[in-house]
This record gives sequence, structure tokens and C-alpha cells, in this order.
Amino acid sequence: MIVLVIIAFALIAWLDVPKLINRKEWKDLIVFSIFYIFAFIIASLQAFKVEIPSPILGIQFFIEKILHLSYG
Amino acid sequence: MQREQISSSLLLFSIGCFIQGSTPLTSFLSSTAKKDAWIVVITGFIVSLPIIWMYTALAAKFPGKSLIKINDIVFGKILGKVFSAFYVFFFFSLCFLNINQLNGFISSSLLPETPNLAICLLFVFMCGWAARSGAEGIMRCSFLFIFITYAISILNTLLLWKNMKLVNLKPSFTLPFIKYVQGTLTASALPFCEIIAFLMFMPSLKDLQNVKKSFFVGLCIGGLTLLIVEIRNISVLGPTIHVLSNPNFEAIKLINIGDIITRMETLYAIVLITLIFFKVSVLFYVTVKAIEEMLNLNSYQMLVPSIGALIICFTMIAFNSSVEHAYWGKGPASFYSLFFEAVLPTITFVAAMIRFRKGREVSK
Repeated sequence: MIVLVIIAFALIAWLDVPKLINRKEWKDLIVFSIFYIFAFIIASLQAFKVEIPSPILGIQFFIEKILHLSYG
Repeated sequence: MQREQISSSLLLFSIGCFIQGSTPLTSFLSSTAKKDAWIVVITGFIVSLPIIWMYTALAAKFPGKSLIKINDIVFGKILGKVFSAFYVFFFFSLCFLNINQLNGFISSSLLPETPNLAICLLFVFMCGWAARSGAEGIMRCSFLFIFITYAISILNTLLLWKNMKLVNLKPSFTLPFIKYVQGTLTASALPFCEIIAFLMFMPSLKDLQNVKKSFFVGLCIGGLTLLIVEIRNISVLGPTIHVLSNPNFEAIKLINIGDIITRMETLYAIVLITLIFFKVSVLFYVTVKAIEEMLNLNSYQMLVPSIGALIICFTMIAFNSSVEHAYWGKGPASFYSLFFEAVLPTITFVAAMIRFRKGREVSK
């Protein structure tokens, strides 16, 4: 699984990074890199079957237990 | 790169199609309001009218400006970016929540042996491709999709005519009042007010005078479909409607005209997948476009693969089971969505009205 993740992300980098470097769009490259690295970390953790907490269940907890918003 | 041009009629059809893409979400309404779900569709529609009016008023106040630019103008660079970041997360979350809904439908009804990841991967790839091609490309599809959806919805309703028992709609107003409030807010937040995403298309719009008409007529087209579908499902399925995870699919399964016209649910599944494809493509485009505008980037295309990968990851981790998703859709989802669809735009609207009163020009 991790091999597939690495191949997919290598493909993404190969598609977009050379264009950004050629056009000297450094700000775009930095933003791209941040999202790219974040996505790669999350995908790799999932490939290694590491349990990642769901943001939606976190929001649900915040709405119900902290804000006490519910329909009863 | 040539500037994209969207006509007001294209916007109108896209909004209608976008709301039609929410038909699977009617299961949340029927599980809350049971056989009175059709009433909450109407009340939800009425409640969303002032909110939609507010969106159109913002669009009229800042002609040709997207939601992100409006935030920058109204709140300044720093606070505006905070508001924009909230919207980016909201649009992003709608992407993976809708794909999760589709995953649940496909794995429970069509392809039970296929892993969710495979469905999700292919689907996000298609949506990403559409988003990368631009707003005009996505929205041009809406005209075709909306007519196919209407044709198939009406055809299915006619074929189900003999199964429909309008007596199933009675008696009305027997549930506790809070259930109607819950249903109304869910109907308003989930299908209707999600069209806030279309404020991101304002810079590409050709005729800015017709924004109000496009929003309201589009809303009516989508709302009417949801109402027809809801009344049909309740009158066909009766009291069992609130226990079914996908009432539309189960209702259409019952079509049987002389043992010849059967298995119409496959046709419905194709339409549903097409509509969700449209909805997610719009949301995907809006997410990357919002990031581009928020961070003043030169292009959004290069963000599509990374955001697509994140959507896949978050779809897989969002819920542990379809029961959790159903619970989220019935309750917390309406509070969550209304924060972004009603609370934040109201703050923006009030702040805009105070800062740019009549006579004071919008500077940028």
C-alpha cells in the first residue's frame, strides 16, 4: 500500500513541480509543498493503518459536549 | 489564460442541479420527521429564503467579488483571511462528507464487495479532473444533468403511480414540535443553504443583474425536485420510510410494470452518481479556488491533486460506520453547516452594511 502512495505522490510532484519552478512561482510552490506534505503524511499514516482521529467526530463532540447543542 | 464566463442561466441550472445532488440527504429528513418529511422540506425552503436573500444582497453589494474577496474587503486582510479559512474548511468538509454519502450508497446497494477506497479513488479522480478544467466546464454539464434528472424523476413517479397511496401522508403534525424544528433546520442547512458555494463563482459571472433571479429560481427548481421525491417516497413506502437508509432507492426498487419494466433502480443510481459528481466537482473547484484567492496564488490547478488526496484520506476516516454518518446528518450537521451558511454570512452582511452604508463607495 505504501508503495502505491509513494508512486501516486511522485506522479503528483512530477506533474506540477517542474512547471512551478520553470515559471518561478515560488509562493505557489511553497503553498503546494505544504498541502503536498500534509497529504503525503496523512496518506502514509493510513497506509500503515495508523488510526487517525476523524475531524468530523471531533466537531460533533465540540457541538454536543462543549456547546451543548442538540435536539434532545 | 482566457477568463471564464458564466451566464446567469448557467448559474441558475447549476444551482438547481447542485440541490438535486442532495436527494440522498433526504434520508436524514425522513428519519427525523418520518412521514411529515415533505412538510419540513417546505418549511426548510421557507427558512432558507432570507438566508439566500442575504447571499444575493452580498453579491449585489460587491459586484464581481467572490466570497473570499468580500471577506477581505469587509474585515481587512487578517480577519478576512480567518473568515476565509473557515469557509475553505467548510467547502472541503462538504466534499468528503458527500463522497462518504455516495460511498455508503454504492457499497450498500450496488457494489457490496468493492472496497470503499477503490470507489472513492475513481470518483475523486473524476471530480478533480473536472475541477482542474475550470468552473465553466463543470457548469456547462448542469443543463444536461438537470433535464435528465427531471425526466427520470417524473418517469419514476409515473411508474410508481399504482404503488402510491396518498393516505400514507396522513395524519400530519403528530410529532413533537422539536422534530419539526430539527427537520426544518436540517432541510435548510443541508440541501438549500449549501448554495453559498456559488458566491465563489461571482467573478466569472457575465450578467451581474440577474444574480438574485438565478439563485431563487435555481433554489425553486432544486426544492421542487426534493419535494416531489419526498412525497413520492412517503406515499410509496409509508411508515417504513424512517428505517430505510436510502428511501429513494428502495421506493424505485418497487417499480414493476407487468414484469417487463423492472430494476429501474439502476437508472436512478446512474442519475444519483452523476448528480453527486456535479455537486462534488463544484465543491472541489470552490475549495481550491478559495485557497487560491485567500493566499493570492497565480493558479489553483496545481492544488487539485494534493487536495484530492486529502479528500480521499478524510473520506476514509470521517466515520467508522454508516450509522455514525446517519447520526451526524440528523443532528450535529445542521448546527455545523448553519454556522458557515447563516452565522458567518450574517456577520459579514451586518459588517458590510455598517462599513459601506449608502453613499460610501466600496473602495476595491
